[in-house]
Amino acid sequence: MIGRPIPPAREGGLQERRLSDLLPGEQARVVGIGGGMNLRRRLADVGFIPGVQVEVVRVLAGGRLIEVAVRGTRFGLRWQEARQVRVE
Amino acid sequence: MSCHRPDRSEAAAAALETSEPQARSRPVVALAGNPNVGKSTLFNALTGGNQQVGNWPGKTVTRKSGLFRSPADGWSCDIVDLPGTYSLDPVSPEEEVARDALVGGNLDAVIAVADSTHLERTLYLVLQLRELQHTPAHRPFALVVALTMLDLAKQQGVHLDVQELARRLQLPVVPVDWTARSLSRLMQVVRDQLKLMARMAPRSITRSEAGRATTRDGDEAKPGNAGREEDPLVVAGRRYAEIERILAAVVRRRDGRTFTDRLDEYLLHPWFGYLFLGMVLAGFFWLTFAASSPLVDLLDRAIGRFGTVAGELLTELGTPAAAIEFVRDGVIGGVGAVLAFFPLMAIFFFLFAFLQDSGYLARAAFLLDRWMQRLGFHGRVFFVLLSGYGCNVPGVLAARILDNADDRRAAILLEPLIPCAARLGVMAFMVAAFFPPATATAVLLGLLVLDGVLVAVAAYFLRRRVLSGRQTPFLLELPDYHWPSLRTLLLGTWHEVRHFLQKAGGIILVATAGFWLASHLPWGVPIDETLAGWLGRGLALFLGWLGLDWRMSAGLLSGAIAKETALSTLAVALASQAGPGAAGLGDAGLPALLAAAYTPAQALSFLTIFMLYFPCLATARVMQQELGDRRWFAGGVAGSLALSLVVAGAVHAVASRLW
Repeated sequence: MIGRPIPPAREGGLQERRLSDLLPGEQARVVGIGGGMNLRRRLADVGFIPGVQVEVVRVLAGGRLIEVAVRGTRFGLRWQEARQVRVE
Repeated sequence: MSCHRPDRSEAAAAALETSEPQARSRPVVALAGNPNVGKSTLFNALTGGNQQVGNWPGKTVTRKSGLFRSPADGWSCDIVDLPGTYSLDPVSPEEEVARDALVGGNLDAVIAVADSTHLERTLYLVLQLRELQHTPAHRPFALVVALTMLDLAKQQGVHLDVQELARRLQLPVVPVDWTARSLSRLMQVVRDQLKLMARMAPRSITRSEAGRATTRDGDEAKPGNAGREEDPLVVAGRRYAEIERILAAVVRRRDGRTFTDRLDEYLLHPWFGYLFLGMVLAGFFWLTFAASSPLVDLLDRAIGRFGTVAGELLTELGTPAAAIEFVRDGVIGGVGAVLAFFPLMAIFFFLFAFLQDSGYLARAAFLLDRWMQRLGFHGRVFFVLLSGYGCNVPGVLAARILDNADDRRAAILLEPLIPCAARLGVMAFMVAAFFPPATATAVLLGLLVLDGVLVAVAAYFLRRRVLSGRQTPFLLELPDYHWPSLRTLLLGTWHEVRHFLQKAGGIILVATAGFWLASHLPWGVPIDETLAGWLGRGLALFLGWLGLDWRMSAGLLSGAIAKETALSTLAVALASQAGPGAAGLGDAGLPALLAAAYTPAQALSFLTIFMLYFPCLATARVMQQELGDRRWFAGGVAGSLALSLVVAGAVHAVASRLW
């Protein structure tokens, strides 16, 4: 993924990684979800809840589109939404 | 709902909204499930031809209802296909519809459709429904789980113990393929459950373990719901924990990369994916038009032949010449105008349903979202707009795949700005009459680019100024690929086409015949003295500043009924002034006639208006119906009219200087 921005170091280091920071093929565990109530609900309803294993399948359009596998289903997310999911 | 013919299933719709459940003659059964679980396929299979498509009252959400009749003993029930939803906690107005219907307490039974290949996620709604069933305050309803895509699960190396699943869920679970046998088994289980429920006292079926109520309305807290707001993550976590426990006992999985994984390596590849998408879109349009045009020609010839025969027959009966011409060209011509849509719509909807059912449409939307997200719309909007390039009518109808009201309104309102094939034909012909080939191509492309920019600007304006701005989170499920069944595709296509002919056929017929009369009365005078001529003259008073004369104005009037007739009306008007005898002039003489009568600036001004001013009558009718609200429709029509005048003014000003 040439040209993808390197995740900036935030306070808390790796603890504060977001789903949008993961590279294709990388797996992580969800630790929390931010954003509005609607987004939290929607993500929770399809299975994005703390503790669940997620995998970034691929990244398109220079990082703006992210395909994520959770509980055996693949979803297309935008960067804005993926950024709200905290992972470790 | 006023625009629908009363029908059996219309009664079902009314029953669901108003009457007390006990007062109904037939039980009402709802189909509920996540998007992409095969719910609509099940609905089509159960109801066959007995269905009614409309809108939910006051919403832009499509509602489908139908009648199921048991082939064995004639037992029947009404079936309502609810919008696909992930949960009973709506995040969009569309899901509110599903939630309201399910929570509203007017259903006798709910068939929860669950996808075997994605049980973990699709059981979530099932659990919510089960909680609802056990909520003490809720009217009891029967709940049956229909398990779809078991064959696909097997292919993926997943083994499911259906009996164990039913035992753990404490719900009847019926595997469903699309055979008549499995369907009748499903409905038999539903019947048994209804009987069982009727025998029990209404309140005796509560179980302690599931006493939790399901609805947790955040923003619009309902009375009785206040103070119980739990974090969605906690509630969802509890349900998923139960699902995991259930599935641990039910599912045995052989790991490995699935067919879908391997296919997506290519179809969602950063560049090959886009290349393939381009080929799919090109193939889609080519098939819709190239493949439908011989059929359209054939129909055209058949209609023409029929008109001639009818004319001869009427002559022998001693009918006056004027009446014969009216019947032959006005009425039968009008029938032809309606039928001309048939092959195109049929092929379009077949291909569209194929793309959707196979799972590719979601990928296309995902890929296209890269451009659409900047304008604030879902990637699917792009696909819907693209599908309008063939013909705006299916484009507007295709907007049904959008599950967000804003996206859907925007797509429908933007659709008439997309130049359809009929418009492109007229534009290409006229541009070629005024410019040498190389310039003509550039001019035509220029017009199309201008149009694309206008669509983007209008989309941006709609998003910023007009629509509610309530954004649904972008979360696009990429379903597994599968080969759709031919029966389902054909049935779906037939419903769409029939629906269109019913809704729009009459008005097109009347308008075509009406305009024929307007351009021939009073009988025997040249066209500039007819009603249409005078209407054109009146319109030209307003359009004169854009360089349009009465003949062009008359062309625009007839183009508002059907785009392709604008040119023929213009040709007749030009020919009648060129002198007697020129009336029968073919396409060969028309470019010269056009070039002699108008300057390029006038022509471009005309084409700009023509490209933007008003959707054809068929599109307008469908738009009105799909928007479900007069104000949106009126606003959209006024908006595109104003846009066409402003842009034509600018084009005319620039073009007058150039040529």
